Amino acid sequence: MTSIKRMKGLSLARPIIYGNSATPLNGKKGGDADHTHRWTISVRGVNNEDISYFIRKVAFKLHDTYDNPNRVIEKPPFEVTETGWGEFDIIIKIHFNPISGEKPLTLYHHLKLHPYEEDGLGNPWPKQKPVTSYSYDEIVFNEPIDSFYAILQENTTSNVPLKKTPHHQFSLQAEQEEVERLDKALKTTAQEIVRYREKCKRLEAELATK
Amino acid sequence: MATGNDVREIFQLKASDQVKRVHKTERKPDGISRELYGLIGNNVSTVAFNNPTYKPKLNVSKKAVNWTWRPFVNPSRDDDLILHHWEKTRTDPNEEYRFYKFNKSINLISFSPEEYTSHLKDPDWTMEETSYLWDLCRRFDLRWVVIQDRYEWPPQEADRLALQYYNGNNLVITESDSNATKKEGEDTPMKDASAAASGSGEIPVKATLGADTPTTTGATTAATTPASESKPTTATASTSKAVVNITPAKTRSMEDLKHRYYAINRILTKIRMSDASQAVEKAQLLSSMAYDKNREIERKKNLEILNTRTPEQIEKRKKAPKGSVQADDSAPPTPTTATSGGNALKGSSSSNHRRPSNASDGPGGPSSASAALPPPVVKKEKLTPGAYLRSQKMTPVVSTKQQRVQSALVTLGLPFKPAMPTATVMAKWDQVQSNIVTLLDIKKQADKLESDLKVVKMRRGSLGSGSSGSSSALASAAAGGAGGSAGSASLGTNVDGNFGVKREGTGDESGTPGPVKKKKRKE
Repeated sequence: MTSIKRMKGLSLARPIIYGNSATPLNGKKGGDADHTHRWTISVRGVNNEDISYFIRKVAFKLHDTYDNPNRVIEKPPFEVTETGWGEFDIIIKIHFNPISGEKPLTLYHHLKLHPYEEDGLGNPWPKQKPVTSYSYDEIVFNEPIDSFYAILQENTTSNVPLKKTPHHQFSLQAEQEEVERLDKALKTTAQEIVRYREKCKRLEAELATK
Repeated sequence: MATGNDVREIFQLKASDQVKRVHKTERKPDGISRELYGLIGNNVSTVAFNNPTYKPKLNVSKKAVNWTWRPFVNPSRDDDLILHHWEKTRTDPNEEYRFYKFNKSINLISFSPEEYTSHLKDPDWTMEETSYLWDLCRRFDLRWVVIQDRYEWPPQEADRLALQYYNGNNLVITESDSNATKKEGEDTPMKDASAAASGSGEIPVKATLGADTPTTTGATTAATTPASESKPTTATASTSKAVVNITPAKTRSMEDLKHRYYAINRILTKIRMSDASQAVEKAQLLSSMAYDKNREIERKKNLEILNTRTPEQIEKRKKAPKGSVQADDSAPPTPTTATSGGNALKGSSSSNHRRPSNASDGPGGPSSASAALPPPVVKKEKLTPGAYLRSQKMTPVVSTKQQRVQSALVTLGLPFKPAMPTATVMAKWDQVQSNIVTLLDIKKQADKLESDLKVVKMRRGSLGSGSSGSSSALASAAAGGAGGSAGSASLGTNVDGNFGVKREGTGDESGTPGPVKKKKRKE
């Protein structure tokens, strides 16, 4: 396979957002104990941008109690909508554009139907509000094959939105906040390390004299 | 499992007499092992028989081939020997002998003595030696490794016959000559010489040197003068040194030999192709015979250095990319890039490193245009090709420490994994994790030191009432963990009262005082 040339020393990343949203079902269909919620699991790009240029298909493996638990979605939007009552782990396998020559990537997502007790404002979760659980992640392509690299270059990803809004949980602001938190933790740990190092030195000196 | 007795109990039947066991195992006959009998004997258990599979019947679809005993000639031979061998009947009997095509020989340009004397003279080489070299080249098909190994000039005793030829003289070299050239007083070499001489059909001569010398000097003229100069390298100094200039056996390196060979070839080509029509051909031939001795020596030296590189040096090379001169580089840079293997390596590594910088320049352009796209990361270290999810590639923590790390994360107010794993976030995450691990280690160390200190303090404190000698003895015992008896003696005499103090930590701090102390108490 010497015709495949990888771009040595390069690595590219593409952000994706995956997860589910669920609404409780009321009314005629909702009476059934087996179908208390309607939920949708999806894999999409940030800002709902197109990701089909590098993702060929997405396979969602649902719980075995569902018919055809292997749902393969081959064109955008890559999502599955179902009804049910239980929370379970969904295995998401992302198959890339065959030009990339990459193996499929596996992600896991725990389907969330029931809200936390509070919605962050101190109030109990309103009954009809959809429950969401999304994760942000980035797919990193190390040393991509040059033709795939060309494809990636053509479709540049739009950036993550600037501010946090009720609709966009992942934004630059959120990233910034995370960075700040981490920086603070870094500083704290560094300080503690210094402190303890001093203590060690002191104790060693003391011990030596004894 | 319900036995017969249980069933009877249940049904409240009377226990019947023990029925004699009908089934009695037969005795295994002697002469056959128990296991074997169990498999193939009288009382084979119903389970364990594995039908032995034989090899499947050989199915030969092809018909048998006919072979005939045929005579053949080998064109490589120069005589008319006819041998026979088996051949498939169907092959053509007139077909050329199949191994004839492998009998290739090289065409060596050979020189005439006149050419030698007019053009090919060299201060370091005699015509004899050059002819010898030529002969070796012909015999060994210009395989330099063999030639260099076989090269022996001037030839030693074993090559005396060959030597005669190279001398161009037809002297009958008798045993007496070889005796004459030997060092005086050596008996044993003579025996060898006589053995060799008889092998070559020379006249063996009797033992004593001194007696023979006057008689032998008459026989050969040249023998005596060089006799005194005979070299001592081998006990059996060969006589024909008498004719050739006596020089110690030169060890010629491969580069030496090749240099001489190619130099002569170049000169001969120049001479023989002196007319203009053959200019192109001449140039081609000349270029094929270009041989630079010094460059070759350098090149080989460099290759050797490369070959004997230790793994550490290879790692060093990988980590510090081109341009930076490696500190351990002992090889001087080779003069030109043409044939040296070492330079080939250097060249490729430098080209490798140039490419990523080019690649980064490339995407740097369009990315600035799109502004939103994070520029592709250019990594100089090894990148494993493939796709992965960023959050999945966190540096793993040792499982033993994982729990403490997690509690540390909680204390710092961080989730167990970042909410938005972008490149910067993950980098910082890794840093935080490593910091936490370092911090935990240092904390552990500090705690240990603290407890050690406490122990020592306690000991010191409790012994403060005793004499300074004992306390210092104890302290030294505690610190060094040595001299148990000395410690215990001082303890016993001076510090009786303090045994009541519980000293849990002392035992493990320095083993000897602990148990010794306990012993004392019992007494």
